[in-house]
Amino acid sequence: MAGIYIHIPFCKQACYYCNFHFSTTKNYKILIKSIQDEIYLKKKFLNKEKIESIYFGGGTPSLIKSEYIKQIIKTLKAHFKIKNNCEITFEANPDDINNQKLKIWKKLGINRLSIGIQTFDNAILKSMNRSHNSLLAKKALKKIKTQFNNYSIDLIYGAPKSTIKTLKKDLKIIKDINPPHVSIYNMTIEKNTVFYNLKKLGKLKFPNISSVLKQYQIIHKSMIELKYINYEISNFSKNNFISIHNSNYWKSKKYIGFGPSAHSYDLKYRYWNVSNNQKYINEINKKKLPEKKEKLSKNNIINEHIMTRLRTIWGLNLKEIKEKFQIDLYSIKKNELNLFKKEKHIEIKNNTIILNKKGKIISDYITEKIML
Amino acid sequence: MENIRNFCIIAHIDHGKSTLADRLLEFTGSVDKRYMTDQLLDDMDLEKERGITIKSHAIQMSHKIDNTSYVLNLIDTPGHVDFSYEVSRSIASCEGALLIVDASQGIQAQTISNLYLALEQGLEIIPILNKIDLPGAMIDEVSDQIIDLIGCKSDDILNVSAKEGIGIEKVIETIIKKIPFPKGDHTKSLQAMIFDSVFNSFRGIEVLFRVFNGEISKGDKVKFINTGKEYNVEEIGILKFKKEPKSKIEAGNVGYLISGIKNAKEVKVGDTITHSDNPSNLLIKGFEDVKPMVFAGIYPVETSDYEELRSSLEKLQLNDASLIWDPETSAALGFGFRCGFLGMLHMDIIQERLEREFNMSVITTVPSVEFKCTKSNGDLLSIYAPSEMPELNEISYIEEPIITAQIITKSDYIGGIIKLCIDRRGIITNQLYLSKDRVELSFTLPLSEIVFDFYDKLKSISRGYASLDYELSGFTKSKMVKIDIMLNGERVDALSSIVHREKAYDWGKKLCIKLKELLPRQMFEIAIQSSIGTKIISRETVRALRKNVTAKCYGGDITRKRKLLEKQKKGKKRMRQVGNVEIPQEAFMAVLKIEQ
Ligand SMILES: Nc1nc2c(ncn2[C@@H]2O[C@H](COP(=O)(O)OP(=O)(O)OP(=O)(O)O)[C@@H](O)[C@H]2O)c(=O)[nH]1
Ligand SMILES: C[S@@+](CC[C@H](N)C(=O)[O-])C[C@H]1O[C@@H](n2cnc3c(N)ncnc32)[C@H](O)[C@@H]1O
Ligand SMILES: [Mg+2]
Repeated sequence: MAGIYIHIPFCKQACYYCNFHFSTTKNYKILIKSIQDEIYLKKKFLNKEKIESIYFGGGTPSLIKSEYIKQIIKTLKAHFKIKNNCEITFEANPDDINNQKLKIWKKLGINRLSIGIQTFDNAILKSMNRSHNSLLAKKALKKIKTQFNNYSIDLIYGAPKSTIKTLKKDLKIIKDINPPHVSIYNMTIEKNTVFYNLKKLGKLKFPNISSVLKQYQIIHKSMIELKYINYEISNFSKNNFISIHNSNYWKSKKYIGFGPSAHSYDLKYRYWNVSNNQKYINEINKKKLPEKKEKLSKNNIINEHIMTRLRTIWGLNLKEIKEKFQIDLYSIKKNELNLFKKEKHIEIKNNTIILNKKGKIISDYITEKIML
Repeated sequence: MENIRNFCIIAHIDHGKSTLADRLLEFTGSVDKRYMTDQLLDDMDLEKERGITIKSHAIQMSHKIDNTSYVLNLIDTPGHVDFSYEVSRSIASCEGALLIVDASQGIQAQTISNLYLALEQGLEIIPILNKIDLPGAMIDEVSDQIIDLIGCKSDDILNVSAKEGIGIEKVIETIIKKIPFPKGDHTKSLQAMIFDSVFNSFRGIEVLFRVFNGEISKGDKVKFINTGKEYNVEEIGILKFKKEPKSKIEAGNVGYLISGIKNAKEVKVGDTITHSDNPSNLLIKGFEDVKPMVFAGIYPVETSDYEELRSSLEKLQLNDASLIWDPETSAALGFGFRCGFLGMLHMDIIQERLEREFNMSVITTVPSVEFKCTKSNGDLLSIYAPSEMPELNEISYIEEPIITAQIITKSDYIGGIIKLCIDRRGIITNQLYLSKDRVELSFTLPLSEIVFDFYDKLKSISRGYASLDYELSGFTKSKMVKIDIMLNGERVDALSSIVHREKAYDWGKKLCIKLKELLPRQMFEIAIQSSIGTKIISRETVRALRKNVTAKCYGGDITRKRKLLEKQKKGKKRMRQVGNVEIPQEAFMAVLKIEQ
């Protein structure tokens, strides 16, 4: 089983926090053609393995004509073995949503939507340079609910201007809408973004760490009360609505990515496409793959295993590590593990290490200590 | 012997010794053009990267004048004050010295101190004014300075640009004309002096020597008089660019010897080589003892690397006779070595060489000078590490090392420099105008006040127009106290330091603040306290790590994030766990980063 990721590298405008690869140009047609060519070029990559998830991410997939999406899906079906009930997720922005588009997407086989909301607070939305407002978001979600039972909402907490109050407001709306899946990300200041530059110039005020920690506590508490499972650091879902595609990243399954900046993984190498639309198109035109690759050493693989598993509710199984890599992680990291356990950052049950609520907020620190 | 000239090149740092050596080697055709590089003799990577000479380098050239062939043995010496010991070793095996002065800088502190070393040994001095190509060259002014300093005539000074290759032929001619040939008797019993040794991982130790009397041949049985050890001479030869084996080396000449010596300790620079059968019992004097100025602990990052560190230090000691060390144990760091260095540059270099040449990861502790402690019961104790200081109530008094310092500067900066020296507990003893606007200031200062950051301060106060030379002059009673650092209530011996009582309070406070900057946030809060005896003088707190999490980790994030964590982890390998606190390597050197 493996997954497919398609990167649609276009956006209407740049969000001030985002450093994903995108362009605001409109040469959609030629790029989509290149993606189809890339699919053809890489058709042998998975060796007939069955596809259990497809993810259209971005950028903003909802920005381009559904016809293009149709072509991509058609090409995928022609060259890959796609499982019957394959999860097909589509990232959409609230301002692109109407009933007609929803219907078409559904007809194309898309069975899960991921909606970039970020917050329902208009002042914050504006300061992030989002192109929608709170009302539009709510209306879009209402429409989605009538056609999709499986969809997800992206929220960001700890953004500039965010407060406990704005967070509680967002959580109240989540309670009312009751979506089957929510991703709640802590605002990260990425290089090469407007926020990064403003922060460097001291022109942007962020909530202080105590407020951010408080926001985290509140999110946790409320989401559990609302019967969500926190199955990964930033992901919450109702029963049966866990994202198959994303979970597979944390279970080290193979994935193949198409489009500029998309990554692929075949258990031995990691590949990544060039993050530049024109270069991508040019290379594909020459029938070349616009990618770089890196072989993962055994230690790299173990470290990625530790890093991704620890993020999840399924945890890091020591027996699995021993069988897969012939190392006894527990005895190697005994001191560290016992200390984390004593401090209630982790739990070790049935040979499995799972982060507690306290551990999740310093998960990078814990991961680093447990890595080889 | 009449055709041999043994000489060294001496000068203040950066005045162009190694560059002149390049030109001499080129002029005499001693090095194949293919191998020629700038500062060719600076063959250590470290020397090339930093652009300074760390070690003396000996090389033999030949040159023909009027159908007579001459053998020219050259030793390029380092200019930095830390290495004046190297200079004295080189001087002892020569009859002459080229004293170089940078025409744009004039006479500087090490110009004078190295000149005196050479004069003490009775060397013929050839003054050379270098860098005359520079627009800022002050040819007349600096020539006058030289004439004043050594009492030569103005024709005696050779004007040279080592960089542009101007005046090189004249230098060679003058060496041959002025420097006396070595005096010695090759019929006498063998007396050769070891002036250097180089570790060669394939062939064991190469001993460099200068024969004063007698001759040494391949196959001879020789004895090193000081150690009493005997060896068979497996190979001898001369120090051409590529070593050239010979069957014998005669009085007056310089050469190398290989005899399968594996143990560093057997080769003492300054020792005399003689024959086992017909020994000379005369030691050749000429080498000063090494006087380490700074002491610090060096510990392996991985405690299991202790033995490897020991053998690395042994090997280093082979071509760096000035490095000394003794085993030491620290409660915080485990087993390691207390090392003595010539100064901070030397310490820095040793640490870097351990890393590069021996692949050792080490932690270096707070450097200190040697204090002498007289205990209440009359016992006398030398203290090389703060942890060796007795409890307050056991101390009668403490003495600290004092230096005499010469600072040469422009008169504009006198005020600032005097203030700096007084802040460092110094006393001005002399003020001598070398010319209208150049002054030599003399001070006595406590060594502990100058070894760490004094030179940088001096440079910044004088905008680079000051040079410093110093010499140990003795010990004097001082109110020194030990400041301890406690992390979460546990004393970390490797962080203790010894300072003057009047500065102790301020020092303790600054140290805590510095440590707060250097200790990364950890799972627990860390209390940093400084104390004298049982009295706490300051406290800082490092708050516990509160948040450290990556929000998103999907397909495109995994590699990047893993690399980041792996990199951080590697960076933290140099941390030592003391109790539940992890201390990074830089923290052990926090003392050096304190602004006085
Ligand atoms: N313009 C000019 N620069 C020179 C001359 N001779 C040396 N230099 C430069 O001065 C700097 C120092 O030269 P070195 O030969 O390394 O000096 P050094 O005296 O051997 O230095 P240490 O061994 O570190 O004491 C280098 O950048 C040389 O290129 C010269 O005649 N003219
Ligand atoms: C790359 S975006 C693409 C989806 C869609 N175009 C949108 O803008 O909503 C996917 C999600 O990543 C999250 N995200 C992007 N940059 C982030 C940042 N710097 N910090 C936290 N979350 C971020 C946002 O929640 C966003 O919805
Ligand atoms: Mg040099």
